[in-house]
Amino acid sequence: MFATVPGRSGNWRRDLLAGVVIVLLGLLTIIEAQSYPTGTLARMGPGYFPVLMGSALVFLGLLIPLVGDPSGGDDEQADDMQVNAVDRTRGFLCIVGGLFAFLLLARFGGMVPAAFTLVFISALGDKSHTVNSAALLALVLTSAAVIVFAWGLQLQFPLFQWG
Amino acid sequence: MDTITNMSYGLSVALQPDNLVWSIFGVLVGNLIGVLPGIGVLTAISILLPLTYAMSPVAAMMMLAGIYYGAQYGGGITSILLNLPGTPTNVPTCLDGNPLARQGKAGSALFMLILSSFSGAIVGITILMLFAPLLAKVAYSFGPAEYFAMITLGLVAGSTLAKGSPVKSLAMVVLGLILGVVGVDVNTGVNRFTFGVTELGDGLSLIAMAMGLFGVADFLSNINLPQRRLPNTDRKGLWAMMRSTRPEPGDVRKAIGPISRGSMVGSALGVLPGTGSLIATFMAYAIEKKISRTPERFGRGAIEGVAAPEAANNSAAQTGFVPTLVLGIPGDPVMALMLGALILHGIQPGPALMVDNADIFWGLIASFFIGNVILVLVNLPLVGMWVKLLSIPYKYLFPFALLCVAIGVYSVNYSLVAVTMVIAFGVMGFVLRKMKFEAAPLLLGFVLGPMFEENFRRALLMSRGDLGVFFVKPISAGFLTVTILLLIWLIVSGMRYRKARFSSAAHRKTEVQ
Repeated sequence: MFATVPGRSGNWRRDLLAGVVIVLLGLLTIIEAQSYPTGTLARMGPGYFPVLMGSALVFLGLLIPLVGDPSGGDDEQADDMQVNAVDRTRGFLCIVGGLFAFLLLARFGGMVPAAFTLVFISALGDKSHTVNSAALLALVLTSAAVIVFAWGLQLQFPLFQWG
Repeated sequence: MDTITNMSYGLSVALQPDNLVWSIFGVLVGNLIGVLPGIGVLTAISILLPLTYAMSPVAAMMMLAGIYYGAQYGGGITSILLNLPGTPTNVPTCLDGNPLARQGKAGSALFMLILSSFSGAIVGITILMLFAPLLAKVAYSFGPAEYFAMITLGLVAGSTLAKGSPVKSLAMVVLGLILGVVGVDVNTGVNRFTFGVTELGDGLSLIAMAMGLFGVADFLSNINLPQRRLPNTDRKGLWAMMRSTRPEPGDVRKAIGPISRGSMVGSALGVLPGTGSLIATFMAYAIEKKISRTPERFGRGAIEGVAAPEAANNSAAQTGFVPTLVLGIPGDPVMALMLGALILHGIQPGPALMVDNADIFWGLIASFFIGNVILVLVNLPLVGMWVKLLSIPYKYLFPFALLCVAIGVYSVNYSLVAVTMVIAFGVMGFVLRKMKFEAAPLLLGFVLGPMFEENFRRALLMSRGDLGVFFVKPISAGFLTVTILLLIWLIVSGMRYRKARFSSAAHRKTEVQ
């Protein structure tokens, strides 16, 4: 019924989705907790507390769309509007991609390639960076990381390594 | 004079070169973080947390605490000069601090900020010193029922009073409690929610969670946002606002009342589990406005409007350590992270901490004194530099922070699982934020989860499954009653909001027709 109210429809749909996600998480918790012994209130097994919490989560999830969100968050909503979907996706993919590259190169490469790649890829997520400026930033920050982390703090993170 | 002997011991610990350097470092980092809006205390502490592995627990705690109370000072500066609250606790300071600056009285506002912050902090530290040992004596007699009740109040109050929708915050707390279950169950040795991943046996990593939820999620949400233009960041504009660098005559006399009231409110709320400095600040401002003979001056540059909230947030930042250290129950998410740091270093907070780890307890308190004196000394000369730093573009800032996160979390034990967790929590934090969930209550629930479950189980084991045990013991009954009253109040005010929204919506609808 709120869906027809102008200006509030976005918030209502958001809260409905939020409630559904919370209910699902609660149900998943309860289902997974079934595989552990529950026990009694006096002698709780490992499954008792998770079932209790999962049920609480389901209850709260049902409550979310009913109660609504008094904080509204309309000003932040306005911020969201200023970033279009393409820029947002680009930023997201570059940051997450950069971290995954770090993950791989930390083990199969060492600190220098891992740090350089992370900064380079993630910086490209910002639309005002060019390939050159991102590479320059990566160079500067990697050198700083070598000085601070490898020499200054003596981390046992090899600068280069294979496999 | 136990307190004096203890304090001089604390000072000898705090003045050891190693500890002193880290404490000063933390205070300065905190000050900087406070000045930069957008990078919160939680982000800063979680990024620096892995560094503390190489330090002694004393130095680590001094540094992390320094970030916390240093940020309270720094946030006030940007509130006054630029009308940007560096941390949420500085919002009330904007209300009167910025009008003062625009009237060319930035100097007197900044002076008042530093005077009231320092006074508030000193009151808070004194109460911490005197009250903590008393509380510890009482706390020895607390059983599982009392702990369970206190944690419940802490969880409910800490999540619902702060920010955002109370129902969503409660859901986040419960989700945090569930995430706290992951790992080996201490009572039965059963692996819970590990899904066959051996590394999860020790539970989820607090560091990875904090960095993902507050660091990576922050970058994911803020990337490509248009940078807010900062007014008056050039030197000329600044100097124009600083025309009178000295306090106005009578300012100090006028501020004595607000500072003492603010410090009292802050100290009192800081000590209670679940109520952090945020509520104290807003309450202190409201009280000043209420008792003032000229409430119309508030919002237009009343010096009391700067003095009271700043005294309140700084005293609350100090007394917040009372429940954290003595009971092991943090009042807000920052304290939860602090508690997590203690546990990571193998130190169990609780009434015995003061005796078993006297160096940490009294050294930390002494370092608060030193840190606050340093903040007073460095703050005014550095104002210009802090403001300059505000103009560093985000596109250079976030890759730098991301690199610190990645190297920091990987170097904890060179495990790729930890880095994967950071990515997962980062994406999770981003999605939750899209649905307007706050991540802070989740962290609070996660840190307190194991303690919550343990005390719940033990209390019911001792009472043979009788739930009445929580209401028979007076202390436990008291805390649970407050919790229930709080929940009722939330429901009532929530209903009122819904009604208001509904009637205004109906109203708008008729207008459209």
